[in-house]
Formats: sequence, C-alpha cells, structure tokens
Amino acid sequence: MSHNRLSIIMPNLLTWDGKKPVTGGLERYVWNLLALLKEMGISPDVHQNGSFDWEREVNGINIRGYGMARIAIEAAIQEIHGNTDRVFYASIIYHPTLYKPDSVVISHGVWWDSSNYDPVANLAICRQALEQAKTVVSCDYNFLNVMRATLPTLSHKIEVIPNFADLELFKPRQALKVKDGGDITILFPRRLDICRGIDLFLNAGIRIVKKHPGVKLHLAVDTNHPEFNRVVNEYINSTQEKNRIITGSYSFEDMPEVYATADIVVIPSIFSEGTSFSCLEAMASGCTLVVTNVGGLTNLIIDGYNGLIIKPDENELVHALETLIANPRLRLNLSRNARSVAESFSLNLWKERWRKIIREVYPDLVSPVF
Amino acid sequence: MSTNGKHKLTAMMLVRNEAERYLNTCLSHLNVYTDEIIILDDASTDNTSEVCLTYPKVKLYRNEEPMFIANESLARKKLWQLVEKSNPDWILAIDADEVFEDQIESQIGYIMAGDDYDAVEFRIFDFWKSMTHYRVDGLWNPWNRFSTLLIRYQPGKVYSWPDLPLHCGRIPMEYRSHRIKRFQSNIRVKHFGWADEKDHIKKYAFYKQKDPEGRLQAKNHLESVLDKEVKLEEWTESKSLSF
Amino acid sequence: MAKISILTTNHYSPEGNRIIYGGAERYGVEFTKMLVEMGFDVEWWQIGTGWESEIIPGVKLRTIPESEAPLKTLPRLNQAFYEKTVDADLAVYFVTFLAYPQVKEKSISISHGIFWDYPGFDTDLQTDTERREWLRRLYIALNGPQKVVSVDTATIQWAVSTWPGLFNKFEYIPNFVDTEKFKPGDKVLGNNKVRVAFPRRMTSVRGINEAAYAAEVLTKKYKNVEFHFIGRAHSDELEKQLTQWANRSQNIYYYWKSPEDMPRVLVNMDIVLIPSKSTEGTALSCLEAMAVGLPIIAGYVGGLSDLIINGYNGLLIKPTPKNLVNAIDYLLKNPDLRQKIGRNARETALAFDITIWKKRWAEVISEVLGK
Repeated sequence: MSHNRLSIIMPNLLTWDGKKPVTGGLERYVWNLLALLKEMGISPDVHQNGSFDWEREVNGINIRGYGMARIAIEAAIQEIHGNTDRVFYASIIYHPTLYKPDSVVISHGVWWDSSNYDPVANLAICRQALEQAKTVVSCDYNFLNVMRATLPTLSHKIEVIPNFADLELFKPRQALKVKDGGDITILFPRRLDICRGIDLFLNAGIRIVKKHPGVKLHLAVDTNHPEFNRVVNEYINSTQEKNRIITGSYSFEDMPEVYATADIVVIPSIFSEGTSFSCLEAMASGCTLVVTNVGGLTNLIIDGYNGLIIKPDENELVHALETLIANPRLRLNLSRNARSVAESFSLNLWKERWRKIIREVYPDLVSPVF
Repeated sequence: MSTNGKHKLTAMMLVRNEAERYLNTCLSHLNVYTDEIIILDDASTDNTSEVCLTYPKVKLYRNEEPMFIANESLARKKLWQLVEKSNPDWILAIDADEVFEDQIESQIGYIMAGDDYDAVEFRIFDFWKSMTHYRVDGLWNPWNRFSTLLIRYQPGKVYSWPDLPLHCGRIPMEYRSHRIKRFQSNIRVKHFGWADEKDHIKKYAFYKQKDPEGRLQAKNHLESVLDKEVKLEEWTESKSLSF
Repeated sequence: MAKISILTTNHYSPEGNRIIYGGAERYGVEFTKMLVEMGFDVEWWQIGTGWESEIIPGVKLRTIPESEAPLKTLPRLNQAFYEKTVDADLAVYFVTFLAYPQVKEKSISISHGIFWDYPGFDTDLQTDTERREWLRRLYIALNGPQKVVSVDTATIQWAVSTWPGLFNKFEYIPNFVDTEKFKPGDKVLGNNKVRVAFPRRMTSVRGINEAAYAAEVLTKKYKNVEFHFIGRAHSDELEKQLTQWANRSQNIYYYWKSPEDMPRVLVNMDIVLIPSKSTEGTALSCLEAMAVGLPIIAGYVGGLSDLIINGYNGLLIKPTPKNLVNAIDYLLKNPDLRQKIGRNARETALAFDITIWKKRWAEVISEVLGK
C-alpha cells in the first residue's frame, strides 16, 4: 500500500454493481476532490457500497465495492475501516459507526429539515461525526449555524467550504442586457426528488404560463427514477399549456447550453439543501434566480440583489415570477449581480480552501513543497 | 459666529478666590472650544476677576457680597439668568478646577450636532494630592458614575433649582429627570479640587459645617476625605481624534 | 385606529445609570416610528417598578414589575401584559420567549437571532431536564404567535431542523440600514494611515478579545495602521480597562459615539471588524459599515452569512485570533481588493435599505391583522 494513500469513503461513486458512474452532486464533488488530491501528490482510492465485492479502475482511480452493504451498511463501513489506513469521509454516515479520528467528514447541508425526519435521531448522527472526526467541512453556513445552536462545544470543528461553479464552462453567452419583449423561459434544473420542489414549480409555473402567452417552462431533470418522469409527463400532458412546457434530461456537458437558453431559473427546494450546484451554475451563467430560503441557498443569494428569496410557497413563487416577468430591468440587474457573486465561488477558490484543510488534517500525506 | 459650526456653546462658572488655583488652566482650555464663558465672581478677595478678564471670551459678573456660601440655590439661579441672556444652544456647566481631556476640542461640535439627546454626561476624575493620580476607592470611583455637564438650552422652557443651602447641583432640575434623553460620553473630566493636599482640611471643614448631619451628601463620603489609606490610579490621557 | 401593544424586557435599563443605545433599542425606535407612520396607536411595556416613559415623543412606555426569569423565560410578565392590554388589536412580542406561555389572538414575535449558540449557555441551564424544559417553552413561544419575524435565516433553519412543523410560522425580514445616512464619503484626513474599526459592543461574544489581540499584533507590525474600538462595554470595569489599554498603546483608540454620529466616523475608517463568535443576527453595525462601502471581516456566525458573501462583499472567517490577524493582514496588503469588496458591500447594502424593511413589515402586519 502506498505510503501516501488516502481512502475516500462514500455511498456510491459507481452504481452498486460497479458498472457505471452515478451522476449527482455528491459524485461530481468527489471527482473534483479526487483530481485535487492527485494534484497535491496524494494517491486517493475510493471505497463504497456494493451489491457484491468488486474492484474497478475508473479515470485512474481504484474503486472498491463492498457487498457487505447489502446486508448492513455499518458492517460494510467496518470492513472498509479494516482495509484502509488514512480515510476521508465524503459525506456524513447515517448509520452508527466510529469515525477514524484523524479524518475529514464533509457535510453537504442539513438534510432533515422536513417533517419526514426525526430531528433528534439526525442530530445524533451529526454529533457522532463532530465528536469523532478531526474536522467537519460544511458546504454551507446553515449546517454550521444549526450545529452551533445545538452542540456549541463541538462547532469549532466545523470549517465552511461552499460549493463551486466552473466559471469557464458556465458563463453568459453574450453581454447581459435588458430583454424587453420576446419569450421568457423559466428553467427548473433539478432532480425529480420531492425535496427539490417539483410540485411547487409545476403548480406555480402552470399558473404563470396560463396567464402569459410568451412564457415557457423548461424542466431539465434526471431519469434516475423513470416512474417519476412518467408521472410528471402525464401531468404536463393533461394541461392545456403542455406545448409550452418542455422536459428534457441532459448530460452535465449539455447544461451550459440549457442555462444559456433560460431567462429565469427557479431553485424551489423545500428541504435538504446546501449550496446547490444548480444554483451556482445558474448564477455563473448570468440567469435571474428565484430560490427558497432553505438551507445554504441563503448563503448564495441576497434577496433583491442577485436573485429573489421566497418561502417555498406557491403564491410566493407566482408573485416572484410575476414581478420578474414585468420588470426586465430588474431581471437584468439581478442576473448581472448573480454572475459577479458567482465569481467568488470559483473552482480555484474551492481548491485553495480545500488544500489548506487537507494540509492541516493529512500533513503526512502531502508532498512537501520546496 | 460660533467656534463649533452651527451651535453656540456657552460655559457657565461660579468662582470665588480661584486665582491661585486652576483658573488659568481651566479658562485657557475653555477659551479654545467655547463661544462664551459666563462667570459669576462671588465676591473674590484675590485677583480672580483680573485673571478672568484676560480671556477674551469671558463675560464677567461680580457679587459684592458672597452669595454661594449663604445660599447656593440663589447663586445658581443668578448665574443661570445671566447665561440665558447669552442666547446659547448648549450650556456647559463647569467648575474652575475642572478640565476636559483635550479631545473635547475636536469632538464637542459633533456632540452638539446630535438630535437624539438633550443632555450629555461625563465621567469626572478626582485627582488626589497630585496632578498625576486620581482616587478610585468607594464613592470616589469615577468609572461608575456620570455627571450631566452639558445641556441643550431650550428657550421659553421654565427652569428651576432645588431650595437647598448646599449641593443643589449645577444644572436645573429639569435636566435631571429620567425623561430627559441623555448621552454618556467617553470624554473624561479632570477635577483638581483635591489635587492639593493643603485644600483638604479647609474643604472638609467647610462641608462639615454646612452639613454636619450628612443630609445632603453621604456622610461617610465626606469623612472619607480624611482617609489615610486610599486607592489611586495613574491618569493616562486619551489620544485626540483627528476627525 | 388599530392599537398595537408591544412587550419587551428592557428598552431602558430598570435602574437607568448606564445608558446603552444598542441594536435592539435602535430596532425598537425605528419599529415604533414605522408603526406610527402607518397610523397605528402604539404603546410599549417593559420590566420596571411602575414608572412611565416614552420610547419616542408621544409613544408611551409603561412598566410591569418582574424580578424573576425562571429558565430564562418571563411567564409572569407575559401574563400581566396579556391582562393589561385587553384593548390591543395586535400584540408584538419584541423578543421570542416573551410569547411564553400565552399570546394574544393576533400577535407577532420577533427573533433577533440565535442567542444560545455558545458553550457558556450550558452553565445557565445546567441539567438536561432544565435544558429540555427551556426548549419546550421556546417551542410554545414560537408556536403561539401567528408569525415569528426573524432577522436572519439561521434562526429559521435551526427551528425547522428542530421542529420541522414550525416552517410556516416564520417570515424572514433582515435588518435594515438607512443608505441615505450611511453612504461612502470623503475622509477628513488623507490616506497616510489605514484605520481598522471594531464598531461593536465590547463583549466576548462579539470577539473583542480576538480583535484586541489582532490590534496588538498588527500595530506592532505596521506603524501606519490604527485600530479604533468604537462602542460601549458591558461594564464600567471593562470600559476602564479598555480606556487604559488604548491610552497606553500606540495607534489604538477606544471611544464611542452616538448612533447618529456613526456615519461620519465610519467614513474615516478603512476596514471594519465584525468577528462575532455567537449570538448574532443581521447586525446593524455590519449593515452600516457595508452601506458606507467598507470591506468587512465578519465571523461566520448567525445572520452574518445572510449579509456577507465570502470574498465578494467582505470576508467571512472562523473567528479565531489567528484567522482574524491573517484576514486583516491580507486586506492591509491588498488595497485594491479592499476597494472592490467595499464597493460590492455598498451595492449589497442597498438591498437592505430601511424602505424595503418597512415594506416587508407592512405586509406581515396587514396579513396578521387581516386574518
């Protein structure tokens, strides 16, 4: 085993059978992190849940799946702990476990801020990470605030590194200017997950489309659960406005184009939100944003400056969209500021912040700098 | 034209036989940042009046017979009426042995420009047997008390004074109410009344005779003048602000 | 004319010997002016021996005796207020826990931020039972009023992570700044000195000790850097210590100003420190410094992340002594960056102008009164 090996522990960078990459925010995050670790002279590998024991190499990274996960996740983690030396937890583990002490854990935001969850049990899960790991890196200030208000003696272990946007990939196609008249496209660039607010978007969006003939809705959604797509499409097809509601599933490479064709982007999360990649990429693309006051979104958007903040409420969303449709000048100002704020969330800054943490927690693994 | 922009600042002072004490120090400071200094000389037998008149901003009034010693309240009222005639915006009630820190010069204009208060309080430091140290034990502690020394004059308002022979206060009753909006300033006042040991017995005897029962001031505070053991702190002057 | 009765703890201190015009008091005054402008009949109540005063000319402040605060709540004060304000159309509980245990049929409470997020709070509620009971009471206080207006999103997110069902209680109305009064201006002096200001109450939760440490380190390192500590402390003793410390130190100043004099003072500053460690909402002092166009170094605490975007319109740091020194040093070495983030700070401050605050409040009040 290499002396500068760092093992990333996470649920699934590849599908449980190890056959194909999983596409999601966490997975993109980890691919960027793996690249950074290699730049720093560290040899990372990945240990994840599997439907059987397997080992693969993808993009030069060794990835191992642990079939024990089919029986019990905590048992798979125990096995991973036995197979590894220095480890790095790419997300908080929702199961009872003992983290290795000299390690980093990433929190991607408060996930239990909904009636579906038991706050006490989930706080205990966070407490476990804060007590045992060396540093918890939070992607937003919201998780930090909740922890400080709940476990003030442990919150000093938290460092905040907000998510990033690739500013070269995501940028305005032309100089931003007032768009008076013409069609307006309202984009929902999220997964079809209840926490991301698809219901909210469709209900409010359809009211807007009914009233404004020049407005179109665009759903850029995943196909992880085809049955969800079926339900959504059936619903859309049952409306009179179906011709002005476009649905598509796009690869990451296509997303810059999707944002470039959008005027307004809605991030209507109702719970479980961090510093959303979709929000940051829409900002970087120079779109006008409407977001909810959930999780880390309020760390990205200042209401009335670089977007509008609403409660996850249909009437509030309709009102915000009406305001934007009626005010091309406001849309322009918000989108300009969105782009300039996004520049403070560059990939380079994200890397710089991570380098500092990695040097602090894993000094023995980092190549000396001469 | 006022020294401090829009607001006319009148200082008022009751004096008696101050020529050999701190009068010059006090007036040379006041002369810099006030617009007018109204002084009522309470029948001094030294050259207090002459000293006062060397300062161009002083307007001097004289009592032929000592008034303060017989009836402080009456003397205060007389001085107040003289001050009202000077048509001030703000009035600074100061004694001949008190000197503000130098930073008052750059800051007084800004203080008087405030709209949110009608009285300004300051901490007064009693220098004790020296010009370098002030007393901090017991009731002498300057850090936990503020005194109203600067008040906004409101023409037409009726002002009154308590009918007391001693310690009736240097500002009218109307400025002592809790209803008055006050601002407490960080600028400090140096009081040299106890700086010279020679004055101690004289002052003690004066107050003791005027108020033997300690009705007007805590008796143990007066007695503490004679304390052998006192706690002192060294004065450090605050730096003046340049804006 | 509808009548609004407002309950607070201490707008004026019950003894009245130290006059401190802090953020909550200024909020109270601006809130009152707004309600009067809107045509409401307003009265205030607080703890006191029965004396009466005015919060602004013409608006009475009355008092109710209270000497105990079991588990940091004031149930007797709450009850007395309820009984004494039978003629009120709307009750406003100026602090969230004042709404425990009973509220008026139409009522709003205000959260000024999370105030229990420091380890020392544990010593105030020492047992698990006390802590649970305190939480239970806080839940009742938050659940009672029709609306809880929160000055930051941190409070809302904590509450929803603790009791998800409370989500719809909350309205986010961040604090305000008068961007006409607080605006960039010319310095009285030239740029021969760089002035770093700490324009806060001098208390440990605001990071006074970290800031004082940074002042000592950096005034030794740079002869042209001044530190200005501007604000009252919690005690006379601390004011004494700060005065003597500043007077002994080269290029360190300690003083305070009336709030209306602060725009002028801030204009003469170059960097502002808001290095709070806990109990922070959307600090007025932070908004004021932003409106003046100053680069701010803020602690990553409470509502400050609703105002500051790290690297864009300020720096948001974990408020350790070392981090604070490094962040100040970084800005001292990068005057262009100071200018850039100062400009962005002014731009973002415009989104918190007091006129917007008034508009949002008007909407919440009419929603509650309309029900």
